[in-house]
Amino acid sequence: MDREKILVILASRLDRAAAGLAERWAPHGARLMTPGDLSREGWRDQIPAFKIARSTAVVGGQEVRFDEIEGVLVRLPWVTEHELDRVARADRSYVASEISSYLLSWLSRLHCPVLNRPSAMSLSGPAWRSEQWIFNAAKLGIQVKTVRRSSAAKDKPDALNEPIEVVTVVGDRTFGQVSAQDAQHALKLAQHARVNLMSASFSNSVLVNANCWPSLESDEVSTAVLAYLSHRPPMPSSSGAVSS
Amino acid sequence: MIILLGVPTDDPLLAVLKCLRRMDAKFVLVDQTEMPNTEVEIEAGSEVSGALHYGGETIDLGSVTATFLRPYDFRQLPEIRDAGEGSQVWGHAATVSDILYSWTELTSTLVVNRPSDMASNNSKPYQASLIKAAGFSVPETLITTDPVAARVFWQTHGEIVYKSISGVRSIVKRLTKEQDERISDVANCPTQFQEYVPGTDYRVHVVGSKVFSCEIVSKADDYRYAYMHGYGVEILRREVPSEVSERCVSLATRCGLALAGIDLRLRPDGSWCCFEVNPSPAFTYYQQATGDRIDEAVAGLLASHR
Repeated sequence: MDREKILVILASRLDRAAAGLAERWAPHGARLMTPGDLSREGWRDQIPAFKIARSTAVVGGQEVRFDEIEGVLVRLPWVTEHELDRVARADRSYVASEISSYLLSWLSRLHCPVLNRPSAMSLSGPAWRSEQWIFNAAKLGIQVKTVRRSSAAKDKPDALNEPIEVVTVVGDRTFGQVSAQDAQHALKLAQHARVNLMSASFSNSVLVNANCWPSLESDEVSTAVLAYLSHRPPMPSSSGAVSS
Repeated sequence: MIILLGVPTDDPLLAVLKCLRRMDAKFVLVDQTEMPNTEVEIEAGSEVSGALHYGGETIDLGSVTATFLRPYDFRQLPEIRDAGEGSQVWGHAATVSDILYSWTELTSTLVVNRPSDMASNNSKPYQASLIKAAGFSVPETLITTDPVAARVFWQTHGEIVYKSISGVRSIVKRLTKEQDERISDVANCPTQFQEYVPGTDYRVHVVGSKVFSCEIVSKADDYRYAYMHGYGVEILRREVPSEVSERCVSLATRCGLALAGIDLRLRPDGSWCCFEVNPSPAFTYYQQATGDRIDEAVAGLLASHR
């Protein structure tokens, strides 16, 4: 018998935006998974004899089979002990490390779409610092604003006086009030970083920063994320989407 | 200029330092305990540049040809731990570390090893998938929060071990009947169980394309902690078959590691099982017994990059 497919939103228990998204997407099978779900009975994962139909996770307190999961949206970079109030205080730090390390393995092995796939440094994407985004973008021929960082307290980062435009990349689509060139550059950078969910900030077509944590408040962006995770064909973009 | 980053009491760091000194190579030891008195800055655009202000001198990061990282968690260093989380000293050490690590990720010079490449060792099951992709077999593993599943796995394999998933408290222990009651604790934390693999332990160190191997004889489940259980450890210089050493070099390369300590077990049937790739191995422990000069190989690798 076919069982209902589940979209997992992995987020902090304190992430109200993620909880709101899970509520909005509930008709599409979305459920919130918090780090606390990893300290509940029900996880069974055998490696390397990875039998996806027999492996189970706990999502929102309920047990689900891995093959019922249609997609995962990751909204936290790592699990901290502050997420685990059900665990004895003395063990929280250790349990947080264990959960983070397990999630890294789990997210990298799932067969379904994951936004973003983890790296050894983060549960979502490569965890690049600003310097790494800028340097990698420059190598791709994208015009960048040089980033400087110093440990000396007197050296403060340069303030930006120009307006900033933000492009959000979801798969091969881009969103934001930017030029077609900026959108193409953002897409190129996302592909180079091997991420499918990314935000890039431009000032007069010069890249000033990028990260893997775009805001999902816009309906267009969140609809594109939903389509990506559930393998649904993308809807035509309305105003604001510069490419698709 | 070669940078050695770590603490001066660290044996592998000291051993490499002495070799570099004998080779008359130009190097600087950046002592992590001096973080409160260290400054660093970097600039990244189409090029990367920067400077390290350490010990009264300024080192142009553009003049650095190779870096050997043996970093300690700065939060554990007494100078910083005692200052307390949130203190100016703590914040400064965090910033210096972060900027230095950022530079090691960006520089095209040799880094032994980059933090992003070392990080795979922080998740044993994640690293197991890299090990398997390199052609080694890995132990059957169950990660679970279900006591019933743990017991079924135990019954299936007869003998099993448990060990942490992360790099924290990473000690291998065999599950015994006395621990049966504690199995219900797995409900609170994903716990990793593995089939017990019988056989002989080998440690293979890879330094670039060079391989140093030894056999470890011990009755302990985890020879690194044998003394805690009253067991001894004997380390014997032993070659591994060429196809195994080639696979070890290939595995280290796949993991992006110029230096790696690979834990293998030779099963009674002659097959090889790989448990782990250590990206920051304490190779001096092994070379003291075997007479191999892993330190010279590391120093030679660092000095060969200009």
